[in-house]
Amino acid sequence: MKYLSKALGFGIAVVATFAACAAAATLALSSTRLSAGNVGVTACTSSLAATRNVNNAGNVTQVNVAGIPAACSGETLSVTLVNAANAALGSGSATVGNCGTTCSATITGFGTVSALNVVRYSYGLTGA
Amino acid sequence: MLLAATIGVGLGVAYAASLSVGSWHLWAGSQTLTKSTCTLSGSAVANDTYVDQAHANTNYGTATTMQVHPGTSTRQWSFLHFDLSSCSIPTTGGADSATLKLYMSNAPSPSRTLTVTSEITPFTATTLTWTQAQSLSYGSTTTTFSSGTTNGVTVSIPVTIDVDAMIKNTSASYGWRISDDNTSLSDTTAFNTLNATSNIPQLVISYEK
Repeated sequence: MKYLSKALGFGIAVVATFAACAAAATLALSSTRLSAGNVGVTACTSSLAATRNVNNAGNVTQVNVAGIPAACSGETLSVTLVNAANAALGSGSATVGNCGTTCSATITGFGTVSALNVVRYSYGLTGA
Repeated sequence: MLLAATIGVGLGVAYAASLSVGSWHLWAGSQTLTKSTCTLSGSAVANDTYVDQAHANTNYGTATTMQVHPGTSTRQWSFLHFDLSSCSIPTTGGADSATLKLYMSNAPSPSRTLTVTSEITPFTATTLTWTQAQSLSYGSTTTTFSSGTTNGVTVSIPVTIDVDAMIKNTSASYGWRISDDNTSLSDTTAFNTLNATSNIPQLVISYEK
């Protein structure tokens, strides 16, 4: 009887412990800060067109993008030179500026990229 | 003994993901380029000549060869111009590569380093003289090349940067002057002109638009 009461007490203690742990596992979160919301993500343009310069070895030295809408002023324009296998050959970025009626951007620093291999410019415009 | 350990794990503070979007403007797009080639040759699209310091007022626009010679009083310069309009490349396009191909009918000995310079004022091959050539405007050196010493070979001279500029602006360049800028006397290098019966100058362009 004495043994039984001890075993029962021990069992209850174990159960209580695990119950407590289980309860603790709910991880009471006292969030002091929680936010959610949404904003509209729009585009300041629907298309861009570039020209590029080369050196005498035929490597791209810079990409020039003109006629960028003024709404894109101050945004970051990224240009990637892409080959026929859809691989990136080089990339660079610049801030859209020089704005009058429209803006422009000049991107350099593509590394050594032969213009012969470039079949596409891939653009990305981001900004607030 | 009843061991009731309550483990209360309270994570004091939880920061849920903030959904504020940093970029108000976001756009991605692309521009596909069209590639092609154009080869220019013949008097309909080109003209060439050479001038001679020793005969300062003589025009050699009908000669079958054009010559390049060094020195201080016997210099000879060759001039070439190609009209790109027949290639129909828009000004928004550009040269991926451009090669001037000249047949060297007479190679110097020893080999010479010849200089190709962009010519940025128009000239008329049938009237140009050494005297008039002094009044032309020249750009920076496009390239230099070694003549070698073998007669009857075609030399390929890269002129991509100039042709690219010409595509974007027809007034950017009016062709090239080829000179030997060494002041010491040496052999003459001679190239076939458009007036030759064969192996006339060519400009081969690979371009994008």
